[in-house]
Amino acid sequence: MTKLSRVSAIVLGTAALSTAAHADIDINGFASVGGGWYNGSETGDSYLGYDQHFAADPVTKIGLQFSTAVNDKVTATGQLLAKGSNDYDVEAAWAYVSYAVNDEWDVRAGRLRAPLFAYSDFLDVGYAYPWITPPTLVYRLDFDSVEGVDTLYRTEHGDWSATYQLYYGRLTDDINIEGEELALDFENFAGINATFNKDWLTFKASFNRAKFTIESPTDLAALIDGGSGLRAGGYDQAADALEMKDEEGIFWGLGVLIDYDDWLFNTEYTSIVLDEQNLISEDKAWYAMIGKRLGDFTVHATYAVDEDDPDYSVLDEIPTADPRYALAEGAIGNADTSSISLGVRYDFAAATSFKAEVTRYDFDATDTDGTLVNFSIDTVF
Amino acid sequence: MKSLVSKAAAVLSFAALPLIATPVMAEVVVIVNPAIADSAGKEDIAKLYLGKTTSLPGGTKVSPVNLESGNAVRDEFNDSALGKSDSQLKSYWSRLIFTGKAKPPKDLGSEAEVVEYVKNNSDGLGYVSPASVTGDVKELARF
Repeated sequence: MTKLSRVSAIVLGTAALSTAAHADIDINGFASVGGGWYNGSETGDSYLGYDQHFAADPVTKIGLQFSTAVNDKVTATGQLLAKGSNDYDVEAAWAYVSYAVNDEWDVRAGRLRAPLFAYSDFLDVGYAYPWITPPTLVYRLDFDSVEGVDTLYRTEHGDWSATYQLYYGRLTDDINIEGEELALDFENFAGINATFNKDWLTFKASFNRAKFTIESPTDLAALIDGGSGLRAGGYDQAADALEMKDEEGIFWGLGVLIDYDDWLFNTEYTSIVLDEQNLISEDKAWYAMIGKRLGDFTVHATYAVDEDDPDYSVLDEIPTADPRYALAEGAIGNADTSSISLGVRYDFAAATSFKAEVTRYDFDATDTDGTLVNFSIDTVF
Repeated sequence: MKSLVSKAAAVLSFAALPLIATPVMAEVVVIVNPAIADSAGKEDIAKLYLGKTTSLPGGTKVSPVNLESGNAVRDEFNDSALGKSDSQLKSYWSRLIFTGKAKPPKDLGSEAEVVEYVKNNSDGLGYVSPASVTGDVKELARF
């Protein structure tokens, strides 16, 4: 760098600083604190980060959002989030620059929320919904962001307000499975989603696809590539099926959200479809929630189901007497889980609510069950 | 005895006065800058305050303002124009704010500030009680 350009960089930097100092920065935040207990039919069971002793981490989180209008057209937004379930490591849930083409049309680039579910956009803002977290059997994906670009188009069709969102990007991240940090890579991660709203009625639809690779946990990697693993035995078809490498996956969802005269009715149906038999097997999940507002209280009941439809024919090449058959069979996803939850939300102070829930989980695939009791205090500021 | 009864009646009626007065909510007047010629109904105004649009039906862009949380006129407006409680609205807005999709109307501290803002901004829109309306602003609607 020449002296001159260094000086001009300093001048520019100072100018940028003074501009920033005068710019209006909107700061908004949200926080949840709470905890819960899980009691399973098997001694020592844990689920969703809860066990029979009190755990606060699955609920506790704080988020801060900064947003500033750079000029009439451009807005910069960042949302920093620290979650107990992620060791309170601070991460950016959103970090993007938005360009308003006109009143109806925005183009955004940066780190965005992957809009897979009806509540994806504000998944961590507990104050925004009646539950402590949206139904976990349906909101079952461990990733929620995408780095890339999207466009938001808002319009009206008669009495209906509509929002269309189209996005394209990539996601590289680490996910935590059974205490292991595993690398995840979603390439050509793209999708479209639409929201239609009229007074008390909202419809949502989303269609998403990606080519993805997820690192295998240690045990699975040993089964696939280990010295006495599937490949060593020449069972490449089974090994390929269990390995999450360059998989083509589709995720789609439909939702209906009703808020009519203090009655709430929400339902979402979601489906994951892969191009070949895999750890995830034609996984479908849905929930239905009914709720009623009674003054500052909201009571609600939710039923949720997550089901796989595994095709074990990829294991046909392995003799069933071979111990690798049972291991591979066990690795193929075979969820058949349902939950029923009852909850209450009490808006006891301005912008602050208290929530308590009891959820009973039934794991039909393993013939086990468990009960989760949890509570939270959620606030926005 | 008689005086005691009448005294009790007087105390009771005095005590009851605010109780009776509270439910009889005053009207709310939606005001705009006199430069704005558009007309608008309750639904159009609700859409503005729910961040669903930034324009009046005639196409004029407006910047609405709110009264602060806890203000009785705001509660009345929320109830009659938007049909939502303050906590329902906070929950609604938290869905939009934290996704960067919309920004809620700015809160102003008093009805006088709302009138001043609407008077001084050509895209100004707000709501106040009928007694606070001045000749500097125009009535758009009344609930």
